[in-house]
Parts: sequence; C-alpha cells; structure tokens
Amino acid sequence: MANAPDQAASDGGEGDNSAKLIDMELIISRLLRVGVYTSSAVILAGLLMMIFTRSTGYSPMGAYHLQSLLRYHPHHPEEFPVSAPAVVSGALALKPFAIIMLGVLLLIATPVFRVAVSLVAFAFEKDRAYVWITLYVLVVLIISFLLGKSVG
Amino acid sequence: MVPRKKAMTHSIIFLIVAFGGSVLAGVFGSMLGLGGGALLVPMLTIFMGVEIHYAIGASIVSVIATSSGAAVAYVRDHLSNIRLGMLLEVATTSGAVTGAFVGGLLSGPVLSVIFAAVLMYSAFAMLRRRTDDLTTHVTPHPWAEKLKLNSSYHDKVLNQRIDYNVAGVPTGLGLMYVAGLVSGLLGVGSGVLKVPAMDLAMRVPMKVSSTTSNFMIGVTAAASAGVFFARGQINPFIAAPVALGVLVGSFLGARLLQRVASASIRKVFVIVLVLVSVEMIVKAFGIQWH
Repeated sequence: MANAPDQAASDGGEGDNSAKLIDMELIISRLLRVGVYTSSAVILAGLLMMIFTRSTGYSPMGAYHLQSLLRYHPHHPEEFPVSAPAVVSGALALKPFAIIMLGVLLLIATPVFRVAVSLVAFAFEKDRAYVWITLYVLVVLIISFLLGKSVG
Repeated sequence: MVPRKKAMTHSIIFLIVAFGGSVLAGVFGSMLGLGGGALLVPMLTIFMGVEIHYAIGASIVSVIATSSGAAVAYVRDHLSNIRLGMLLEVATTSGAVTGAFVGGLLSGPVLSVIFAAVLMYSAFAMLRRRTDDLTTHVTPHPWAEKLKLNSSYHDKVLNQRIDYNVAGVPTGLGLMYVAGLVSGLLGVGSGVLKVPAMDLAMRVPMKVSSTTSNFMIGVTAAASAGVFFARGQINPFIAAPVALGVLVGSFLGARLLQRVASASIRKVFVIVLVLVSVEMIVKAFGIQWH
C-alpha cells in the first residue's frame, strides 16, 4: 500500500495525454493556421495595393521618399492609423496602410483567440485547474489591451 | 517626375531587402525558439537605418507571426507541451504587462546591457549541459504531477518515443516572469530566456522546450503589442514586409528543425546567443554616444 501511490503518480502523467488533449491541440493548430493565413493575405493585399496605386492612403506624394516613411513621429503619427476604429474606417475606404494595419491587428488577435479556444477545451475536459490558469492568461491579455489604449 | 520615380524605387528596394532579411530571421528564429525578434531589431537598426521604436514595433509583430506560423507545424507533430505552455503563460503575460509599465522608467542602453548579460549567462549555462537527447531520469516536481506536465514525444531523428518528467516548476515560473518582463520592455519574444528556463531549470528535452517556447511567445507578445500599436510604434511600411518575410521563414524553419539533431541546434544556439549579446552591448554604447 505504501508503494502504490508512488506508482500511480508516475503513470498518471502519461494517461492524461489522451485523445482529448490531441483533439484540443488539433483545434488550436487549425485556428492558428486560419489566423496566420488570413492576416498575411490581408497584409499582402495592402502592400500590393500600396505598390500598384503608389499611395499609402494617408501621406501626400512626397511621402514616397523613403526617409519620410521611416521618420518616427511618436506623438503625431499622421501617416498611418493608430487606433482600431481608425484602422477599420481606413480599411473600408480602401487605404493601403489601413488594410496592412487591419492584417496586423488580426495577427495580434490570433494568440488571443488561441487562449480563448484553450479555455473552452479545458472546460469541456472539466480540467478545473487549467480553466483557472487559462482564464487568468485571458484576463491579463484583455487588461493589457485596455492599458495599451490608455498609454496611447 | 524623376525624383518621385527614384524615391519609389528606393522604397521598393527597402521592401525587398526588409522581406529577404526577415525570411532569414524567421528561419533561424523558429529553429532556435528565438522568435526572430532578437535578430530583427539589430538587422533593422544597424543595416537598414530604421528608428529603434519602429524596429521594436515591427519586431513584436514578427514575433507573433513566427510563433503562430511555426506552431501550426509543431502542434501537428505533437512536440509542444500545451499544458506546460499555458501554465508558464501565467508568468510570461504578467511579466509582459509589468514590463510595459516599467519600460518607460528605464533607459534603452541600461536595458540593453541587462539583456546582454542575461543572454551571455544563458549561452554559458547551455555549454555546461550534456548534449544528447536521451534524458537521464528526472525526478518530477510535485506540481508537475498535479498539473499533468509530465509527457512524451516522438523523436524523428532517434525514431523512438521519449518520455519526460518536468522538474523545478516554481523556478521555471520565476524565470518565465523575467522572460515576459524582457518581452514587454524590449519588444522581443524572449525565446532566448524561455528556452533555457525550460531546458535548464525544468529539465524539459530541447525539442519540447524550443517548440513550447515558440507556442508561448505569441501570447506573451500579444500582451505588449497593444501598447506598441497605441503608441504608433507599428509602422505598416516596415511591419508588412517584416511580418510576411518572417512568416515564410518560420514555415521553412519548422521543417528544418525536424531533420536536425538537438546537439547541432544547441551549438548554433550558443553561438547566436553570444553574437546577439555582443551586438546588444555595442548598440547600448552606440546609443549613448549619439
């Protein structure tokens, strides 16, 4: 009896790497792939539109000069959108830089959705410890996005 | 008419060079669990004349791209330990949020020197460790059993199933908080800190630690990306070729990892760590002299 718990503990880890966990991994894998393909396609579309229309959608013609595109304006970034509403409205107006930024925002959202899917998967597995762990990560991510807004 | 055309040509050359360099950063980043950021920031600032704030902004986007792009291949091959990654993300995301706050209080050169010192330490710690993949017996930490962290993977090079236990969970969490802090401060994935934390403190096999690191990096980077976005540090002209290039590179890197034994990954990893840390010290002093 004294030896039994030891044996059970060392076998326990392997038994939990079952079909459910693999299913969860595959769901996450597909989610990541869709997110990456979608966001890269949007970024590529914006980049090609910028090259072919010779316009960023924000800057005057002088902005074609490389140095003005690379100049850092922390407080007055008028050459590209820096808020989610500005990105969406600019993308709807088919401004190339707004379309690129829409792709960038989708890319940033991909890991956040990954965590959300993990939360659902752990809940289905009734793995209470990991539901709390995942929920904590998700809350920190959401808070960080709100903090990012206030910093801007 | 003529100047405009010439300027347009310069912009196209910039986009092509940024894309090509990012492909290389993506290949090495995903193979080493670096996330590409540690290689991208020196490349953009030193060779391409990009302002450091924009380099960091583009870097954080590329870091997410690398992680999400390579994780597709890693998860499919069952190399990542999902539970281990999620547990450690508690520490990395907390650290990233802290780093975003503290980042405004410390100067760039000070941060660079601290980071370089940590990288140097990681490189020498790596050299001391054995190089084979056949893990000697590791006594699991009590938390590792409770949280189901002990697992196994199939090694394609050795063609066998490798079972492994996870040790040093509290130490690993502490190191991961620091890794997240660095990620939030400098806009890098800090895989260079995540991999040794799992490899050395938690005794996780090299392939599992580098792929789980890649898997975690995107979530950590997302915690600080919002701040960079709101500050206007993500410039689409730089971020677009960098993100696309790193995506292509990370897919190539994920395929290469399967065919290279861990010993050779480790050797490359040590050399890269030393080079990047020297680079960071040089850059820190360079900034002060300007």
